[in-house]
Amino acid sequence: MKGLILKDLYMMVKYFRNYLLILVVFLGVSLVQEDNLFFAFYPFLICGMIPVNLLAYDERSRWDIYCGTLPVTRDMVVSAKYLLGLIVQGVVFLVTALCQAVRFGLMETFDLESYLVLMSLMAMISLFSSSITLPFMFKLGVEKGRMAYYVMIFVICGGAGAAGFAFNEQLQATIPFGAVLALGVLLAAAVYALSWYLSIIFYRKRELH
Amino acid sequence: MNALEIRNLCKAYPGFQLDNLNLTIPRGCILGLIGENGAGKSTTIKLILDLIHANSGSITILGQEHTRLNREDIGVVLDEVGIPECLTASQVGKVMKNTFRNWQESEFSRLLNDLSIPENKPFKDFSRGMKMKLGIAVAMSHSAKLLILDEATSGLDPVVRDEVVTMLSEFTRNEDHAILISSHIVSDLEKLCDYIAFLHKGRLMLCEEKDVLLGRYGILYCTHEQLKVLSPAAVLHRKENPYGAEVLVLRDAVPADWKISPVSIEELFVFMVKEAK
Repeated sequence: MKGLILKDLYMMVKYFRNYLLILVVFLGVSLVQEDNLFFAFYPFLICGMIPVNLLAYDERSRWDIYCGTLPVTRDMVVSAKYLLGLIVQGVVFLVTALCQAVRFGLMETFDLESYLVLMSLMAMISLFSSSITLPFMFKLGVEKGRMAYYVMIFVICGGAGAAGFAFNEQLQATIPFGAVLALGVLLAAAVYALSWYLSIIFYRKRELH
Repeated sequence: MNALEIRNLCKAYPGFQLDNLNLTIPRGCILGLIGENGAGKSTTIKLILDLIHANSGSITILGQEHTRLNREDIGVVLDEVGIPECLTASQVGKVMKNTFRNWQESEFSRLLNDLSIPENKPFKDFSRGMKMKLGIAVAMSHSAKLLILDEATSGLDPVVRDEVVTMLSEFTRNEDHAILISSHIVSDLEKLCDYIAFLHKGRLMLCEEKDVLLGRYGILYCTHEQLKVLSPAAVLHRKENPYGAEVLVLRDAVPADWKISPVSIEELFVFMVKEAK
């Protein structure tokens, strides 16, 4: 699996070096634009597409078929993409968390609760962003899988809106917001693990033409 | 123990069926799988490599059921190679070093050098011949016992093709080694192979030792009168024109004093496919 991840790293350096610039710009804007969370969350969404885009490049070069002839199992092929996703999102999360901590630290009063809310939402988005797409791609191939990604964006946005509406003041009084966020992060982690498992099952059965 | 044994292999797609395929490659031998485009060569190879799943039948590679095969033991070159476009030969070497336990870095470097493959040029900038050569270099750098090559010589210029044929011949000097190579360019395989298998529309027309085939069949150029007295059992296929006939014959069934010209594998294949149509 080391070989698979190394191959993906070479490809990332070649194809996704521009993402670094996007990350820096969006991170910078998110630090000054306190009210607009879009800039803080967007890097997670585009980095969540890296494993998906790598799969697209694999399919285009027929690596997916060639890889099936190498001494790596299909489980390893799937796991390499999920591990790479975790590594990339982990790095983005750490950098963002550090920068946001500095921003919160520069405020007159460090609002720990707001900081934790932001971190929880970022963790959820980073885990969700590729969870829904990858099983479709491993089962159906890249083109159809990409459609699933757009559906996922729609579901997340709609879900976030619905959750915000449902979590009204009356409900807030009975259920602590922190518990909801913690549950959300756990749910996102469980969805990621389930997605990983489903991708393995789907890819084991897929015929590589 | 044979290098490869295929028994009663079947695979059906809409509009195509690989029908009850049986093939054996003894160790130390090269088998050429010849067929037109769409005859089922790539389907056969993908079934052997477990990239697609058979409807029925069995495949044994180096004594193991193919789904449990240790892939360290096989080297594969596919029609489109499959190396990511942005990788250089040097990066491919590093990826493979972390993929194959038996990776031989020095052998890979030697092959890159011998085959004049640039180390730091992206794969997408390679010619087709160069891509194939890199695929072959990878396949031959991890102590594989069985090479499986799908149309690996197509697109190579005659000089490089000759180099590749020499490399493959040297590979099978070790009696533990074997090669399955498919091509629709029959002349490539004629030089190289010990065994020849003809595949046509998903069915195996024949599988035989090359020298046996060349000894068994011949081409008879004769008049229409001679053709009339020739035993029907001797005639496999005929092409008649106003001046006479060109006939693919079984040498043993033709009168001894008649002059029979040698047949090439390519001619034999074309005759047989036309007969099958």
